[in-house]
Amino acid sequence: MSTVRKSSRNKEQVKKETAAQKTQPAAFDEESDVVYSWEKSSEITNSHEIKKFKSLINTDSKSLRLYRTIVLTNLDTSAHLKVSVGDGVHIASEDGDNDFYIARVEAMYASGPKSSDMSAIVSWYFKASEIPKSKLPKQLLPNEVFLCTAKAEMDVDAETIINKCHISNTPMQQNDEKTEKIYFCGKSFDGKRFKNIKEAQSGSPAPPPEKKETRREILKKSDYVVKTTMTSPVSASSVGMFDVSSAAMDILHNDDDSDAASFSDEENELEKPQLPTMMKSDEVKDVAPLKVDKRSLNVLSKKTLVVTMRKMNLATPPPDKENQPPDMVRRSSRLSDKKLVLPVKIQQTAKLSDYDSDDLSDDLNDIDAVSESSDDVTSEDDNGDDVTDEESDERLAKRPKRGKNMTSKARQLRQRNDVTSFVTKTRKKRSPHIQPRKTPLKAASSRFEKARENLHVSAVPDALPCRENEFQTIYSFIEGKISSGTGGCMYISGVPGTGKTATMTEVLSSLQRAVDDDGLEAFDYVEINGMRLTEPHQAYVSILKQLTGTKATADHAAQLLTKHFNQRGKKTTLLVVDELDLLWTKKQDVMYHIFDWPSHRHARLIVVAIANTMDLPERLMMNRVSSRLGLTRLSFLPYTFKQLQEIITTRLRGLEAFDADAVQLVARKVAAVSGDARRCLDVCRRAIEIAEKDKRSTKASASIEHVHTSLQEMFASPMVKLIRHSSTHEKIFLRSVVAEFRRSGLEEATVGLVLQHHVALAKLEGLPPPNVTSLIKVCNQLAASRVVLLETGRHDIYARIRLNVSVDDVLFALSDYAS
Amino acid sequence: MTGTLLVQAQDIVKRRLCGNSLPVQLFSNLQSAETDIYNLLKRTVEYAESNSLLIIGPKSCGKSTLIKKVVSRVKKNENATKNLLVVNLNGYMQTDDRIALDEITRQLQLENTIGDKVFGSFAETLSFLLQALRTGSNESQPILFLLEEFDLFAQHKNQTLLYNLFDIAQAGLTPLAVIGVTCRIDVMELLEKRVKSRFSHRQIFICNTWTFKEYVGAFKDCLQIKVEEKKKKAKWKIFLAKWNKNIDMLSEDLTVLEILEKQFLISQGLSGLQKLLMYPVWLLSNQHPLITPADIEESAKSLFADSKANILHGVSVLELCLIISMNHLMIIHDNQPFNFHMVYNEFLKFSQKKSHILHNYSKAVVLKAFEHLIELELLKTRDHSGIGISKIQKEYQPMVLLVENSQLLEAIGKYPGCPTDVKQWAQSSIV
Repeated sequence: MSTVRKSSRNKEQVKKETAAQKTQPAAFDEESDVVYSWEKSSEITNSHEIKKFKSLINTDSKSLRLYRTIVLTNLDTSAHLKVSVGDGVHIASEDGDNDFYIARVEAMYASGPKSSDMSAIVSWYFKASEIPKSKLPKQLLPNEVFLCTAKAEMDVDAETIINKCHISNTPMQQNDEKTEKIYFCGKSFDGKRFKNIKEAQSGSPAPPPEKKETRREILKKSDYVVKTTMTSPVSASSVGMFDVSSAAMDILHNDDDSDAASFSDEENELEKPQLPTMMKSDEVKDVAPLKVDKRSLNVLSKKTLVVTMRKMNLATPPPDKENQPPDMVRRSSRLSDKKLVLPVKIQQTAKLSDYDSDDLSDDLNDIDAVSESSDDVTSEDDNGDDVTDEESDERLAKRPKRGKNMTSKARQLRQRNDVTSFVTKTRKKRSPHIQPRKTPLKAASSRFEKARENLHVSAVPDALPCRENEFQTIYSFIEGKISSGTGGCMYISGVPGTGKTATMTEVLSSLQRAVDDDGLEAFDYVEINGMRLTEPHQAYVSILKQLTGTKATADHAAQLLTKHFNQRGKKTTLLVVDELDLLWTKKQDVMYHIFDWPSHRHARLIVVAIANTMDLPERLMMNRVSSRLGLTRLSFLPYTFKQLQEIITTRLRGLEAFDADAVQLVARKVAAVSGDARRCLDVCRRAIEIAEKDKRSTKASASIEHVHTSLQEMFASPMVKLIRHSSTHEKIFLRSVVAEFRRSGLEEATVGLVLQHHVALAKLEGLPPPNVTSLIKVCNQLAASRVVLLETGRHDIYARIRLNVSVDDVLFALSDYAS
Repeated sequence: MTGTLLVQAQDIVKRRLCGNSLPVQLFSNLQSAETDIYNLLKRTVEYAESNSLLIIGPKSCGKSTLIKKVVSRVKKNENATKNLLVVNLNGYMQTDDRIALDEITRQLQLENTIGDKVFGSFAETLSFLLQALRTGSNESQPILFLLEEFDLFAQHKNQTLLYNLFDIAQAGLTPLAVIGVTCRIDVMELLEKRVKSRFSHRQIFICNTWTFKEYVGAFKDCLQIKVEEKKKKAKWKIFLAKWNKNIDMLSEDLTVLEILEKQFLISQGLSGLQKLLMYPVWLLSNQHPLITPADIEESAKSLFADSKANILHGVSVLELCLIISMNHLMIIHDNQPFNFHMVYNEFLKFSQKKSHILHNYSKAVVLKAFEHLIELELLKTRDHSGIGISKIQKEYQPMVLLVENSQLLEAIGKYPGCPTDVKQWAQSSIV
């Protein structure tokens, strides 16, 4: 993470963004329609940078393109606003149009094949109003914001950016008039306490104090330059160099030759040593993209594919003093390339010139905190590392939600936009996913449709009826362990479809609520499912990934986890292991480890193991494993018919789509067979489908008749039906098999012997007896549908044959034929 | 001109026989199943309702045709074309979960989301795919999983793929329709209990319920070409009229009907009929523009031919004599195995007392002939396990004959220039 942020914020673009910040037109407010488009030329093509960036967003997609600048075009005023990497931005909030969040753009990228899938990686800032009053520091500066160091989703849609702002690291004077979009950030907030960014960055090298004076001088100088160099050839050429989108670039480019030559020399010099040191690599990155820009510049000018940012700036006069023409910055960035050490300061000064320059003398570390210079990037990286190291606070989990809710705003914006070329993708995750559907979903309208929806196994009921006791047992077990800060194991068993996993999920959400409301201590939740692993040892990998987000091989992960659970001073971890029996190995090391960890002194681990069989610990586990599992066991009994009845009735409450008698029939039937709630719901759903299709029925509900049909479909064996409809010779063959069984008194025969019977029977029926090859074909047809079981292998007529149905069934199925 | 028309007609019929074109209308036994599956898929597409379904029926009763037809019908709906993703899997091709997962990833075109990175391990692929499917919601595109030879998927280790597919279908994540096609009636018993619980237990059974009359109708449908199917030129119409009339005549021809009935009694499936018709259709040419009953008879002859009787036509008289002596031995000893020396003695009895045609073959020559018969797989070693057999000397290995008495008699009857003595000997074991 740290390196990427550095890479995305090299010097050149820092300059750009400073420029852009200053050209912020007043016309951009949240009410107007805005079109978003990439500044094509700002695409980052440097493979090194891209690689680093991709590791940040956890993807490896080829179709991903990085950009430095996005252009917001206001449809009403046709004014443009450029947002570049590193800028502070307002991000639309779900609360309403007037509210917004503050963040800083760390990177921007297009994920889809079209340039419309725009996303941005941001780091969040808290406004004072977003932090509970009780936690706010006593001294609050105007427009103070706090860097969010808690874990939060960093990925937002680019369309949620509604405006630009400036986040400074120096406090503003009270009398400063233009403070509306300028924020001060001096502290970070992780949801619990504030940290001074200065302190956090004490490790970063502070610029020597004697340079202060020079800085101020340069500041003044650059201020001066801004006003005078508009027409100077040097600055004009540099415009061509750096602002690729400039319409004038092709003209200017000619003047640029000498400059470019000297520049490329420098470039070569710098590109050779790819040193691992921070500073060095920074420099390399700083220059590399420039080359690309230059190349794409020629292409672009030919295609006249230009977004005339520069023109815009000139056309719309700067609304206030802050909006200095970008040339100034370009000028300084030009300088920066010539003297690689100096530009940092120039930039800073250019930036700081907006404020009281006296502040400069305050603390230079403060400046670093703003991360406007490459030095700062390093220091802020340290900060960023702190974030990852810190355990995420569950209480702060509302932050990531924000990113998701943002989409609603994006949708609103989209609706207001009439620009067809722009397609909104409301995607948040960079992980693999199925594309969203293209046409809207139909909503269930009729009673039957609603009933069907409610009866689907996936439908989440408001409450889980009939499992109150089990719920209470699990809940109090886990809650007790969490609050006492200890660990333990629990084993839950029960046949499939008795609500084990559902109850566990319910417990979990209740615990989560308790954490939010009643101040139960926050805990980490890890879930593994034996069926979702390819082999038992992958359990380690999965746990480690969910716990720390790191990947490792199975063996290494096991070591890391043991180490992790031996550390003291961490939150309680709740580990749910579903389908435990699949984690069985010969040595049982996976099970052993899982049940051994809770017994470590500082582990604070609660393991809830779920499996089908009640006696799994005795039957499958070695003594040392089952001893560690302990005796806290809970068994989910199959649902009784009353419980099943209740489950269906609660799901169908308010919809009179099912007769009470019919419900009882289903419940009784399923309870007699398996007590599987899933099966019960499926039978009901099918019954409703049948009722819906049944046009004869005048009643608008599923009756016993429909349930009966449904049960028949699901429980009846098709064997008899199949035998009834098989071909004549297949029937004769089956009769021959039965005849041979009777003759020999065994339940097994060889094909050759059956064939003799077959020929005789066929003659009896007056049919021409088919030859052996045809008869073997008949036999194979029956074996394919498993009416008979045929020995595999090259045994030909000596292959053994057995019936897969009872003899009585065969005779019953053939009764009408035989008579 | 008739030549090109013939080629066109031949092309249409060939396509049908090879199963490359879907029938315009399904047979009556499949129609109710078709509406059921169609409604099910429609609900998946329109209401994002996840479902699982098994289509069970004997071989060649039209299961795959049915599902192909339904999918093509669903896809006619614009709503579905835009949304529905179809993943086709076949148990014979995706022989384990790893291959199946790779194939699913490919068919869902998910490999692009992680670039061209080749999946490192099975575990990675699984977690990747599960993540993809589990992050979905109602709003994701519905996916239809078509698992042909479903029973083979049930033999994969732990049934991981089936468990996860059914689990997602029951969890209300990405809408899935999992449709399995299998010919095994007992397929439910193959599913593990937790997999079984997650399966919705919707099963559709398909059987060939037709009568012989309908079967003849199917024969006509296979060959006749409707005028609308191609351009409406006058010449084409005339040709088709002639073609269809010929098919009508064929379906009334007694020889043809007899052959069809013979086929119908053995198997009611369409594939037998299609195999029967392939030869006559491929035989058509300018000189021979219409199918004749003789063509079908010829095709039936090769189709119903007895493979072992055919092989016996190609063996020498000595080998034939050995087979006869083996047959006698099998009858005498009630299917008990024999060895080479027993056969040799039986053969000597015949050749010394009765036959004057056969030379006195040395033992080595007879053994060679015996070995040749083993190579032809007309006889094989007795033991099922095969352990220890190879240690026994060749001459003493217990063998059994794989030729039935009826096959032997048929072969001798057709054997060119079979000595009368041998014929008699074959029919009666008395020497």
